[in-house]
Amino acid sequence: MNNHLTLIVILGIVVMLGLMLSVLLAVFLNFRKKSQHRKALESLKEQQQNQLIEAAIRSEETERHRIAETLHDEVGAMLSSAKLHLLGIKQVSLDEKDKQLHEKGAGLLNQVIQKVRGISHNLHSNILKEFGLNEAIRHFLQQVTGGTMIKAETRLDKDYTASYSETDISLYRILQELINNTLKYAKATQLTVSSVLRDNQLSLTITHNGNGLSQSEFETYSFQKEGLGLKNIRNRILLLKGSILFSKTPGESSIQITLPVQPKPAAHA
Amino acid sequence: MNIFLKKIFTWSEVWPLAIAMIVYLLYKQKDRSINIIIWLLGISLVFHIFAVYISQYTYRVPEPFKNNNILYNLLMILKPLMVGAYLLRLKQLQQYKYLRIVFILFILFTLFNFLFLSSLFIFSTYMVLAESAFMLVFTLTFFLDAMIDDEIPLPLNHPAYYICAAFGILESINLFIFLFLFPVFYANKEFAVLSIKIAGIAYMIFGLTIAAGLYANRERRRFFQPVSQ
Repeated sequence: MNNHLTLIVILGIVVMLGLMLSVLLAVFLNFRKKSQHRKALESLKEQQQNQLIEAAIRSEETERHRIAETLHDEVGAMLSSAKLHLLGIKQVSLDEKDKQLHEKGAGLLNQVIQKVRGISHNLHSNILKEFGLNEAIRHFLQQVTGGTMIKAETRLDKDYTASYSETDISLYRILQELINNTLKYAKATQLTVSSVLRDNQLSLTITHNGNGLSQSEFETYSFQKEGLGLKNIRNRILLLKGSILFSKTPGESSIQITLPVQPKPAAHA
Repeated sequence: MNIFLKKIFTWSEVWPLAIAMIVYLLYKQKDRSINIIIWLLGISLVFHIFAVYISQYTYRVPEPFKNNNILYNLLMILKPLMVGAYLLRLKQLQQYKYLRIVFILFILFTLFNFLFLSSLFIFSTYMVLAESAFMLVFTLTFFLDAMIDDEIPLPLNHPAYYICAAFGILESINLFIFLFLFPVFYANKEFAVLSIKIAGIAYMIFGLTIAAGLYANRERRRFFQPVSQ
């Protein structure tokens, strides 16, 4: 009887504790499985999102390229031809009023040709392709600030000489958008673009004396429907696995972009 | 046995609970719904201190207070009620309507038991059974729901997991020990003493698991906060 009772108690404890510990173990393993599954799902979602962004950016670049080519090769050529025809008119046969109209027309045509060329270069920079990012940035700054009161300066790391790549195109587009925004909204009179390359990380900073955006303002605007440019910047940064940091103090605003870059392949002997 | 170890086992119902309360006093809690469990811990700590003191120093206690059975009986009522109230408020268990019925049945059984079957002044084995059954139903439902629910509404570091694990282990060990405590005591005293020690270990696991849960649920220190630079 004694042993019987003892056995019941021992068995009872062992069975109950075994049951409880099995449940706890099962819950733990189940959680681990669910957690792994969720991580895999999130990773897949992120991958899909990146693919979508990449496809959108690629198609945008292709479209830009196509428009740039059309503008340069077709519209540009037609305008040049129109200019030639206009210049072919003999001025001797014109009276004073017609001469003035002819000159004005030729002047306007010249401006249109310059504009079309500018737009074409903006849409697809040959300089970026042939001379690299640093030179393209210098050229772009010169183009947008030339003939204005804005004092622009570049301090770009000479060590960054990466070849024409997707990263460079995206970075150039981001910079174009940011500088255009700065000139349009921040009312800056001084602008500096600098870059530093360290440990395969390129850090590009735009500093100006205008009224720039703060990080929270950027986050807000980039999620709004209207903020298409900022949304594009966010997507490109996301795709490049980089980061963008807006900061502003009274009298100075800055935007810092940091992203990993591929080291330049060693030159073949 | 070493005197220190003996004291540890004698007071095993008290010091693990005290550790849990110290953790609570040191750290402010994120999930405030745990307050009901904190009240239960506080009440349990006081009751166990008196219960162990009465059992160890009976000769010092005045005659009317020599019986500590009432304290254990009250704890057997309070534990399911307070833990049940805590778990029923969790979103995870709100969908299980039968738990409310179990809760009401427990209250009805408690009233019936102490009105007709047992005295509040004598350790009630019926209450041991009712308490364990109630706690096991609640804790197992909580864990099974966590397994079948694809969404996992509560993260694994939520204190409810620690609380359910602590009570689940405590009840699964103590059920058979206290259910047969008196028959075993008369039949095999040595084994009864060993059973009490095992129950003590269960209390240690219980208190330390609750303390771990409170630590996992900490928001910030109440005192000696590090000065941010």
